[in-house]
Amino acid sequence: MSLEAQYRAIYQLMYKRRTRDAFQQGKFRRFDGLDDAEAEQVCNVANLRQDVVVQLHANDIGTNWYMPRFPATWIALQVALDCDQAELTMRFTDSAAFETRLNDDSDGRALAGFVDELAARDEALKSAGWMPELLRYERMVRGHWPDEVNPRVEAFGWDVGGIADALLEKELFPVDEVASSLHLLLYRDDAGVSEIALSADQARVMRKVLNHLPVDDEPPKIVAKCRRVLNQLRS
Amino acid sequence: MAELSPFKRVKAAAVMGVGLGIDIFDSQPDFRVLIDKHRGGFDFLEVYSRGDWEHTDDLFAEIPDDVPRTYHHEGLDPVGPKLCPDGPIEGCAKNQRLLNPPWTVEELAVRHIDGKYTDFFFPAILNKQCVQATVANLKALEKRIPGPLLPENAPYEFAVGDMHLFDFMNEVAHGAECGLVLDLGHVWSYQLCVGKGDQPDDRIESLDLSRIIEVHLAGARIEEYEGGRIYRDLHGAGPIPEESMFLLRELLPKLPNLKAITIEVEDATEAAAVEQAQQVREVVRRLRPAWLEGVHVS
Repeated sequence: MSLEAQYRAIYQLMYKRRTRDAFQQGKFRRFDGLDDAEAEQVCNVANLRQDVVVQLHANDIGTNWYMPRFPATWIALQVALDCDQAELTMRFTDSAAFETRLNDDSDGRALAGFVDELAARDEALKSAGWMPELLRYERMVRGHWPDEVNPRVEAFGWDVGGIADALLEKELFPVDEVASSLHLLLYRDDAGVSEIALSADQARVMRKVLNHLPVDDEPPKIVAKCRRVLNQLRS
Repeated sequence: MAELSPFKRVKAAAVMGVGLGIDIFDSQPDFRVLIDKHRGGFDFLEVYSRGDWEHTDDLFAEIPDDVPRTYHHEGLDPVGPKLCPDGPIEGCAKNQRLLNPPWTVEELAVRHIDGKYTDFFFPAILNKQCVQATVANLKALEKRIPGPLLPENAPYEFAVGDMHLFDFMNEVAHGAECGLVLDLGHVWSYQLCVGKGDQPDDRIESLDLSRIIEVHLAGARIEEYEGGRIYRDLHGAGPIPEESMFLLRELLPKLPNLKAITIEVEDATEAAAVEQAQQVREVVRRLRPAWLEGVHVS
């Protein structure tokens, strides 16, 4: 008899769709660690009401956790997978990636794992090869950086800024997008993250300036511009 | 004072009156605006910190000393199978030191299962095992947290277990020698789970009403489906359901140790927040006028 096992069973019924479906279809009769009485109590709630609650919470997770933080990715996933928010959330919470979240996944690490899983195996995401980069972009713009280097130059393999704009401003799902480099200077302060688009040459020089490397062999105009931009950001 | 039970300690506290439950991190309602512009609309604030006990110091310092307050913590997971990690306990103790409330509210729910954060309060599993674990947790917490805890009945969307909610609350309150917060909307949420939605006060006489120190009210939305209705907490983003107001009218004369009525108003405008407080205050004035004597709002 274990209270822990009872909570674990409820957790699975709430978040693990395949487990819930299998249980409701009678594919297994009790969750691990439950005795007869506990199994009966859990069985009693695995019904239509609980299914409705699962749907409601799936929408809550989308609305409260992901849409406000990573809206372009969240919308793009629904379009790419041809599903609504609740369905997307239920696929996500069913994944191993969901279990990697820290608290309410405010830094998007679990969502990133889910997107990577999808990108590796799901045909639907083949036409949206930019999805992992789009999420990386949104995470960085939200200030979730892999280290504390600030300011920083980030290179993206797709025009993720344009893709995000298309999804959020024009409500268009980018089709036949071609990979192209995007270089951004990112700067974080109390007000949030600022982003400045750079050309490839500017990005190369900016990295040198940020790393205090010699820039004698770089075009003076670009060097001057990089220093000016940095001064403006920091002032 | 230290030898008194948590119940005796809260029972000895002064009446707080009708207050507003706010999230310290919210920009709406902004507690500073409530204090500056609407001080006549509430007697006290119940301060909630959304489970983020680490970033509260500066904000708490902005609450003037003359504004009475209670504290609503999150993360102690008192109905869990074992005591929560040290962080939430230390955070609760820290915030008590900062706020000096007469008591601290905590949901009879878990927010973590196997260490994983959940998107809502998983309410207590209603059985003897959970009672035993809850009592043990509350007693262990009492030793580590200086101010008394007041457990609150959490919202139910589906109920697991073979006990009635009121029996569960009685056993917890008596076992841990503590008082209780009775959230009236959450009572109705439970009744909706057990097919008693049309009788929000069903079996209320079985609840030890002497243990109720604080009552909560909040806005809610009802989801209907072909098999029933589901209560969803909206707090300040919706009207207080009539069923909650009915329970207030029913219970108000029957709560001998009532010290506080809190309207949870997260997401409400400041004006809407004090309007809901006024709505509740009118009921109190009509049914139990003496109770409001001596509190801030005349």
